Amino acid sequence: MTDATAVPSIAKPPPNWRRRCLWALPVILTLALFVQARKAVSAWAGANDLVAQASPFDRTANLAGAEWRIVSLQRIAERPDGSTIALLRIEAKVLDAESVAQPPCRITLRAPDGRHWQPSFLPPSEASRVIRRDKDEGKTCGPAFLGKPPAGSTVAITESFVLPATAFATADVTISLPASRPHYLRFVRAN
Amino acid sequence: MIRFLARAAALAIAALILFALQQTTPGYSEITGPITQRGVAGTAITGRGFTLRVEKVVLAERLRWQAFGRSYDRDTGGLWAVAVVEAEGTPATTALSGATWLAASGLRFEASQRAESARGFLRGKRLEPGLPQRGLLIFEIGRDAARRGALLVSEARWPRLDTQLRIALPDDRIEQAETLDLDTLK
Repeated sequence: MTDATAVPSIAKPPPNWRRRCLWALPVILTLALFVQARKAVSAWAGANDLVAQASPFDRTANLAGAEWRIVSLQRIAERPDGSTIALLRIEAKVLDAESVAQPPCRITLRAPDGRHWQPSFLPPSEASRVIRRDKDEGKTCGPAFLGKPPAGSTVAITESFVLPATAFATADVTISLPASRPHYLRFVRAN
Repeated sequence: MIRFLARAAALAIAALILFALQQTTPGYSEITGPITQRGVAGTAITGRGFTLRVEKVVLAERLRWQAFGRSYDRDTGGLWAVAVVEAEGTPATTALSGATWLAASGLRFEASQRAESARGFLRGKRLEPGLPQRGLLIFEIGRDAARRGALLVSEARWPRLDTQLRIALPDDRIEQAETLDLDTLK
């Protein structure tokens, strides 16, 4: 005689799909938002200077297929309204002709407090005089790369700025190109 | 029966709420339109890309100014409204391309180009951070639009998802002149 004891059957409860779907909702929504916003976010990041790549003012630095060097940043005139005219000369040694020639190129003077000054579209008369005197071609960043300079060549860029006299001494030079954004190069002034 | 009536009532309320939501949903152009920032003449107002203060407005029948070695004289079928303002780009270099006179009746008068050669003409001029500039925004407005108006100022001519200052113009900031020499305002 065998001792047959009945083993109680452990019945698996049916899956609760309602609960599973509710848990899946946050995951699906996050994924959908990511897929939907991916292009817009990458376009926004590609259009803005978000991540600074700092470099000492007197050193060369690489960005977007070129080796950049600050030749000079001069204060060339003072105006009675408290503004100063600055002339910036930069050299770019082309390493990757395709990357560096993508417009638009952005060069600014940037103060530590976040204010930034864009180059003048037409150089002020004080800057034009210095450019003529130095027999400088005076090409700004955009036109300098229009001819698609070949790899190995060096491009000279001249930009002029109008900024407060008090901001000149501490303003850093920043450079950004479409191939580098959201990264940009920041030549930091030594204090 | 009561249960059926309760269900029908819930359905009707839901339909009503949905209808109200549909009727009050703003249009695309409204959602992506300018972001209005209100202020009053005499105080500095800071938008996303610039700071502006309206000092005063002068209403005149005629304008006169000197430019390019000659004298200019302009009259109008309505009134000239010349806003004397101080503006500065913050935090970056910018320019003001949008300037509109908003009348109390809702009529909008875009800034006039007829006095573009005047020295202080500010529209489209570069504004640098840290270098506030005094300048003029010039409008040709109807005679009945002169009082209780407001200025709408923005970086873009038709701003989308960007600051548009709406500056109220109280009467104590409005002056009148028969002929206004713009060179005396600078």
